[in-house]
Amino acid sequence: MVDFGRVQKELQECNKDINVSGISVNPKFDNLINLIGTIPGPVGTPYEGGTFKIDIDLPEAYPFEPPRMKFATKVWHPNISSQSGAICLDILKDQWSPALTLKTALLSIQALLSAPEPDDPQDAVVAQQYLKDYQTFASTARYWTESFAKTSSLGVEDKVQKLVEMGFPEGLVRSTLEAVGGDENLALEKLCSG
Amino acid sequence: MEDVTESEQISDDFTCAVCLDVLYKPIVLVCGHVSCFWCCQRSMHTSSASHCPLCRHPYHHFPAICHTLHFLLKKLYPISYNRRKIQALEDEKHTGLGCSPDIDNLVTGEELDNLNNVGQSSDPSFEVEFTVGLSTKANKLSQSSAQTFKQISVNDVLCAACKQLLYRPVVLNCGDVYCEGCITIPTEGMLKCQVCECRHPSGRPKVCRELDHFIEEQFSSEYTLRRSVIQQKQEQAQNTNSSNEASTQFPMLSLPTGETFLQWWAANRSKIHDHVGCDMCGIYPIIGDRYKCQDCTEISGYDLCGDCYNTGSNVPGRFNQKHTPAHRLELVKPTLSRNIMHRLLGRRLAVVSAFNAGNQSSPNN
Repeated sequence: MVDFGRVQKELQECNKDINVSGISVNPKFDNLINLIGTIPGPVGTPYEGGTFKIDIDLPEAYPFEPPRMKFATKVWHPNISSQSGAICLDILKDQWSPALTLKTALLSIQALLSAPEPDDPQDAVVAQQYLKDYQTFASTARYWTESFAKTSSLGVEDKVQKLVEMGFPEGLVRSTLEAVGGDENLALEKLCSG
Repeated sequence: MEDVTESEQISDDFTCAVCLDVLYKPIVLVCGHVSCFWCCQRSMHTSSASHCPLCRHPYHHFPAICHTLHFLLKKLYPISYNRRKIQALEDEKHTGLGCSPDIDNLVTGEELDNLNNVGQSSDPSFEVEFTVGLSTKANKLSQSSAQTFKQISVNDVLCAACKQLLYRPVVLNCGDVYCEGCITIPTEGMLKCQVCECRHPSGRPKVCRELDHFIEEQFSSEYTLRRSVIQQKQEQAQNTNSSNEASTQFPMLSLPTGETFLQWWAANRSKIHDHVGCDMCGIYPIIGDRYKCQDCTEISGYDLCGDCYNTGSNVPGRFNQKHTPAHRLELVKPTLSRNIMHRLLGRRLAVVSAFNAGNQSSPNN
């Protein structure tokens, strides 16, 4: 049984200092098991300026077992699968401790973006490139950030209009967009599922 | 989950790092970190050493609830603490994990004992009588005293040995609290609690910072006084003898962790009783001889490790079992499920293979 009391507290706590950390966690659907986390790309890295979404699933035994996290945004990084978004990070596996939280885990992922560990790779291709040809790695990572992690240029009104044209009621579209932090693709996913 | 709209502001010191709520039935680990009874129990590894959620310090014994902290928190945050009590009782019903000890009744017994024989160490069998018998007298006393308990006084945070305000408190495996300086380490054998005579097998306990911080803030003048007296004493002691050997050779039970674990585990796996802990010293899992009570019917059962069985003491169970000295204990062999073994070995292997560069962890791992 997931400790929902704790999850709720975590969400409140995390979203309280969102202006400082830039890290947020929100429910993906209408439950506290599937969540979406967002982290800003660290300054001074090829990920700067991007906003990365992370799919979070809480296992039954959370917080005694680590949350399952993977990148929903495509990212070019030695320790993150460019295909599946799987993250190679010890605290999400055997080094998890119940005193860690979703926020601390996301902070660790953010730190992983600034400090890749190519010797313990998740994506062998990216790791090889990182070690052998750092310049190409950096430009690919930057290109991926530009293409996948930058919030779309459309304004809120454009997004609302686009989704309303698809046949969803305007009120629902606005509330859904707000719930997912303005991401039109996530909003569409949510609208279709529920 | 019910809405928490309590006016009580829980200090960060007394917030459990695991459930992020006010500590309930607090357990203090040997590293000095505190968590709730169930938070600690559920954080423990079922087949090898457990690690403190906060500092990852390895430990093998599930400590008993710290009574001093329990009653302090109950007084400090009566509303929140009562909410936690109701919540825990409900959870215990649903999860089927067993019950946490009913210490409110238990400690009334101890308090009575202390009142009767001031300064004398209590008889270990005394506790048993009180959990089993649940004397109505004791119940009444706990009710009446609960009403008068409002203001926190120095009497709530006394050292079990010097009976003065705690200075740099440490908590033993049995849950009793001492000043760091009041613990005398025997040159031979294991440290024993002066109050309950339980052994402390977990190594030198570290100061419980949370409690220390609270006492320093709450009773600043008394605390400063205690500090100056104790520091003076220490200086004198240092001048007379400078030997510090006992502290370096503190007897404790230690199991291998990390890389050497696999080898050790391969040699000893047949002796490990997965998911079973000793109700007396708290070692979890039991390694070696295990004695299981044939008469306790609770889900959690009642078990003793070989050492505790041989010392012959009978204390009430960690999960409120109604065990009495009259119950029959029988030697039990470890039951090793193949599946469990494979899963555990798999997990450990994954840790070891993390050293290899070619480690390919699956995305869903």
